[in-house]
Amino acid sequence: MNEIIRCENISQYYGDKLVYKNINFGVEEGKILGLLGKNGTGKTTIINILNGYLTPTEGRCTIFGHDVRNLTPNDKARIGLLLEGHVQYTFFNVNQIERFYSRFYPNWNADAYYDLIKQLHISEHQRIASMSCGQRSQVALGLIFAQNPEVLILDDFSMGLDPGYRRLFIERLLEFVRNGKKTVFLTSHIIQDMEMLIDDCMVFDYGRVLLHKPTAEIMNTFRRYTFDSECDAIPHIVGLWHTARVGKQWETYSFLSEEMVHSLLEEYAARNIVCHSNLSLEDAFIGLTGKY
Amino acid sequence: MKFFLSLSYKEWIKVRLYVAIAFAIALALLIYLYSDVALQVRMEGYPTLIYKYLIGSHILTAFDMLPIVAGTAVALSQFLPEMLNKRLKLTLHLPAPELNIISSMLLFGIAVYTVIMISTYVGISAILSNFLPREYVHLELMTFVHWSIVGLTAYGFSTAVCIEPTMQYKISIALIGFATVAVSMWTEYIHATYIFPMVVVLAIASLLMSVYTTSRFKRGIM
Repeated sequence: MNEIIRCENISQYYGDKLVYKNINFGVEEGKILGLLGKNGTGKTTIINILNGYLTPTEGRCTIFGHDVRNLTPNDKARIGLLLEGHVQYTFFNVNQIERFYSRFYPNWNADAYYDLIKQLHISEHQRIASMSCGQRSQVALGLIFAQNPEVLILDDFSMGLDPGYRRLFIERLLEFVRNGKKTVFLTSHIIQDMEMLIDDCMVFDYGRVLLHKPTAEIMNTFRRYTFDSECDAIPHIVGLWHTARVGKQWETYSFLSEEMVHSLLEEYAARNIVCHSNLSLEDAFIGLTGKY
Repeated sequence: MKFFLSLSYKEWIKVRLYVAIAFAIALALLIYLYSDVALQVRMEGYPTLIYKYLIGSHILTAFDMLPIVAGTAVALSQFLPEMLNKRLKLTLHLPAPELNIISSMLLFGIAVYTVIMISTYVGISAILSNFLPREYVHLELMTFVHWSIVGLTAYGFSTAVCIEPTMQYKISIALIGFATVAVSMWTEYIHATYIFPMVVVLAIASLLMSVYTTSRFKRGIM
């Protein structure tokens, strides 16, 4: 198991406010790890730490075995970065930005960039500043393709994009990643997009990693159950997630087998227990983190 | 060198309009200088002109703010676009040591600023040499060199203010920069050279301040 990205014992405080304590995770070579979490759980914080733009209060992250705060130029050339909002230099036009970046990367593939740009039907002299969010996202993606990095770090890659551009972005990214055994760490608020993309899913909760599993395992084993019960309150039961009354019924979530869930709910006189399988990743996320 | 030239492509695209404006202003000032001195020579004659300057009048008063304005304009045109949406992260992610990157950007800005100042210096020298004795032209040019170094200080502090991530420090740096520039300009024109070493040291300190604020940005100070 070769972990290209590794974070060990990461703790982060902003003043007295704890963001998280002793976070540990890794991303294996060739895998796409998606980070999910509610607002304020520290997704952008970990991205900033990984990019080397935030020194964690404790712990360290490494990429290619090197501390992210001291990456060599060669390391940086092998890492593709997408900042939140597909931020790029807006004072360039389409040609100029490619010409600028191409000078820094020996393996630069201009065709990969221009193949994507052609699909946008925009002039090569159009300034980035005058483009829509979707067009800018494709320029940013095209530049990453041309750089051909081994590791991609994408911060909220779907931000501001309409469904058409989101789908285009995902399909192109998936094709690029699968063709080259790339290692990807990404975040997004649009979980349907993540579902199509990620191999492994990591969910942040306030102060900790709630879950880190292969996406397929979550989709195949995490279930939602609805049931009736006369109880006014059901305490937290180990193995069940966010057991709560919704209207007249109760609902809960679990990775456990249906039989085990039934036996756990017997004590609370649960009846008419219905198992809802085939949850979407978004449903699973709600089940894991709770509703606001 | 290759890295510097590659980075300069981006820097030039950012600053070229403001450099053109700075040159236009400098040219306008040179035209004004020529016409002003020529008019005084025609109306009052050489002896009166030289006597006036020797007892305290100054020729280059119109140029005293040019270096500060030019230095600040170059800094803002280089670094404000980098700080919008924290694009500096993209620049610092280029495959080179961060110190090399920021040093190259500063070097480019200093080079552009120096070209503007040298061009103006040559213009002033050419104009004044037609009308005034060599010794006096030298004194006026040394005054302009002094102001040019102060303009470099303005460049350094403006850059530091742009890059500094916290508002509290931005304000502090801006106030220190303003005070430094004000003190550096607080001189007798003819005898400008006596605090010249201090002005040079302050200019270097302002550039080092820019490097320091970049390291604060890199560390994610908030």
